[in-house]
Amino acid sequence: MPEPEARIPDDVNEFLENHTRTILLTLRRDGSPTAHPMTGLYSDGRLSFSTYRKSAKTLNVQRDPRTACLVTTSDDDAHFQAVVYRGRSRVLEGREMPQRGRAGGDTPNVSGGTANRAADRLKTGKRIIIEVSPGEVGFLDEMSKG
Amino acid sequence: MPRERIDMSRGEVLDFLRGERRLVLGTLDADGAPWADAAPCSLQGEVLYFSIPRDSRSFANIQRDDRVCCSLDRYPTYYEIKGATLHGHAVAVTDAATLDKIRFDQSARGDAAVFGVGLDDVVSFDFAKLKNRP
Repeated sequence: MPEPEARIPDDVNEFLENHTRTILLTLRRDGSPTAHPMTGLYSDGRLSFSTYRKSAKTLNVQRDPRTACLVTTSDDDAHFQAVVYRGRSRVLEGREMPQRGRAGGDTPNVSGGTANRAADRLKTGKRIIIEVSPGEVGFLDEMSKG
Repeated sequence: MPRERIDMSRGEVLDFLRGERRLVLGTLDADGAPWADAAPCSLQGEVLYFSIPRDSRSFANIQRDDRVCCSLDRYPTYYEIKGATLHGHAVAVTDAATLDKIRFDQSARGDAAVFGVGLDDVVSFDFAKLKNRP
């Protein structure tokens, strides 16, 4: 039975719509944590990432879908903020990346050529989308106490 | 066609880590699921140190299972993106002489503990090394 999805508070929702810098944490084969800096795309309450089908992160979430993401402002930001977005991942094949809820983002823009190549590779299946559904979501400051 | 190798050499990783002041820390909750946090960090020699509050979920997790990962990245432009993820066991630093040498630009909230992670298991990338550019 699928797990119930968390309700995302309005202020957290707004943060996720305006920040794309995301560290995706997955589990290695031995159960230890690993991390993947990514550009996260937030839409309809879910976080999505485009990556290679054969990448370590894809293999990791196929083996164990438990995932944690940290969506952050820039490290240099004097008012550094972060949202923890935990949930279960699934791999979507043959899909296009969803459209952002709003324009913007804080990770580097890729050239048209790079974006087109990534889109082609999603169509051919060389790339896939990892989609995370919300299980526990909130500002790090409010969730980090033990 | 095999993917291009864009990992950094050990020297390049050390140069990169010397300039970093904050990392993303991955630990394991009691059920084995990953937990994410952010922490101030400082490289001393070939050990990356980080500081976390003693009342934090990350601290409790490390007490139970000391396996961690530390992720650091820079992304001024697409072809300047570089980053490293360190995997290892978090070792608590309690020796006063060592603690005196470690300087963090930011301080962790409240009463904090310091841990170190070695560079034995590092995954890195440097997009400047990409040759196959569209």
